[in-house]
Amino acid sequence: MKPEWATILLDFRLPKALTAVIAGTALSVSGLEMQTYFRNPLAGPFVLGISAGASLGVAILVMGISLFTGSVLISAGTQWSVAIASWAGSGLVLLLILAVSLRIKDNTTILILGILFGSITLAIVSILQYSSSESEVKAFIIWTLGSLGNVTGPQLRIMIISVAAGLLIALFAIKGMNVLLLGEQYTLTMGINIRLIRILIFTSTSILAGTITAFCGPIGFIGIAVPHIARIIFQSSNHRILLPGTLLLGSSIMLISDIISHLPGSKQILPINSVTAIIGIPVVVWIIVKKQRLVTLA
Amino acid sequence: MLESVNIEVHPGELIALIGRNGSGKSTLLRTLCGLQEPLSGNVLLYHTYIRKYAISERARKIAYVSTDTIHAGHMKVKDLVALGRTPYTGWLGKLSWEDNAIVLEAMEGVGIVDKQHEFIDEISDGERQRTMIARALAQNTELIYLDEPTAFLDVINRFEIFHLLQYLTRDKGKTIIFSTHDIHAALAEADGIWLIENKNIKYGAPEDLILSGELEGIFNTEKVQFDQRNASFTIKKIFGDTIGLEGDESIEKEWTAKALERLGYRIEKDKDKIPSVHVLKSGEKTIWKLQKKSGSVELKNIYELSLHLRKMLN
Repeated sequence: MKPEWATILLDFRLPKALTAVIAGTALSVSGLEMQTYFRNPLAGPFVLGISAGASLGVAILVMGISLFTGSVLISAGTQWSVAIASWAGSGLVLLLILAVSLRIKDNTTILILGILFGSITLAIVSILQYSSSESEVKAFIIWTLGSLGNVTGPQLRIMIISVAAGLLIALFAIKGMNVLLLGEQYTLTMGINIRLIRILIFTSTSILAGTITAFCGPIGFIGIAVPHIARIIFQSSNHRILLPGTLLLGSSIMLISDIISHLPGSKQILPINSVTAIIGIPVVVWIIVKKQRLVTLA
Repeated sequence: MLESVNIEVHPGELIALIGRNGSGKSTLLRTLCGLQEPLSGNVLLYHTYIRKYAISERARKIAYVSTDTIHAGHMKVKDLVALGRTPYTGWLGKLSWEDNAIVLEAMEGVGIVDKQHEFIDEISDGERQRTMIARALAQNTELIYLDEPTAFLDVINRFEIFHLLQYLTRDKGKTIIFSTHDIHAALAEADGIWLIENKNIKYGAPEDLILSGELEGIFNTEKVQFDQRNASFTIKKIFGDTIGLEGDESIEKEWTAKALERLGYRIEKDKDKIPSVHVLKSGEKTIWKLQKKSGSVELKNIYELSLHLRKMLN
């Protein structure tokens, strides 16, 4: 094998494929957790504004310490702070949605609020950009298109550790999530510590969605669509089956999206967000058409 | 919301909780479950305050069936019933061989075994309610509380649920407290009634409450009256004209009397009363003869009779 091929394969293609697997897994599992917790089939990290919250966290960190020099993702030493900033941002949006959801039980309202929270965080990001230089803004816009290709060795290591931690936490929420499908009253009368489950789900989601958003940009529709595909394929509502199923499907669908984005036979690379949208939106439309009414969804 | 409630429940009893809308039935049930702090006073279970139990321990003593409809995509009947084992399973919620046997027994108890592999959003309302009860059974508790288990069900399904609750208390030794608006059936089937009225609870056997007139007191309004003899409700009649009713005692005559009352007539025993209706039975056939001042008409059924009478009134 030619040495340049080895370089392409080992230094570019392999990390990218690994990133795709990790991103697909993390986003779809966080989508599953949100759909179960809010008993809302249209919930997902993107729709609820969790990805936007992560963007805000990263933007404040990056632009705040004005290390935004050409590349969004800066020196290796600060990678962990990027990850932590994104978790804080996504966690904050999640807490806001949680606070509202404890008062308002209506699914549609929570979705709309999630979209509004998302918009307002993005608006704050724009204001931050306003005081940034042209090259910073350009880099940021490229980042918002989403990309699996910008993740390098040390970042990949952080992603693997974080996502593994997020998945491990999700594992401990499996039993609680099954009961949560029946609603909070049943959960309480069936001996489940709902506060603990809530903390597990929200920590896991913040880490999973936050990490991916920090390193790959906001990637849409995987989080909403994949759990539904898993429910259809595995014909189950049991999270002991759904969680691994979603994980498997999420990573494969993201890999396929990545392959499609490379447009075999061409030198062009499509933004990953366009590909996931083309795959995910039909699924979302199908859910809405099939269920007709938002209230009875889940 | 309620004042001075001090009632004991005995094992194996089927208790119906009745009262007008907004009287606090659901609140009381939730308080009894330990889902919410009592506004005042205490709930004791085996001489221990209910909120003192750890939630996992409480879940092994009390099962609750709420009025919420479950909308979980791709959840099968058996999966839902199996969730009843939650207080007993490990951290992943995996069912043991024994758990599976209990789940099957619970499904058999409510007669839903043949539907166990169907999705819960594809079965009927009655089947879904029985599935929810099976889930409570699988929780293997002595006490089961149900919030309006017969709401939204047709009359056959309602009686089947009542029958099921009775079976669970008599044959399975469960203690059941349920709220209902189905007062007639509750009075006929429950061992005890808790009657919520004006922040107060009256309790006793259904017959005691009927005899003491407590039920009449609550459910007699301007427009509705409670019939002490049949424990049933009717719209209060405003009687206008009087009418005679003759014929041999028969079921046809009884129903004719009901029809006449519905039309607003007071029935008079006077033999020579005009107008009057004569119920004539000859073999299988019945004829209603309506005697008016202007003569008499023979009618084939009660509907024709009522048409004539209404014309007469106008």
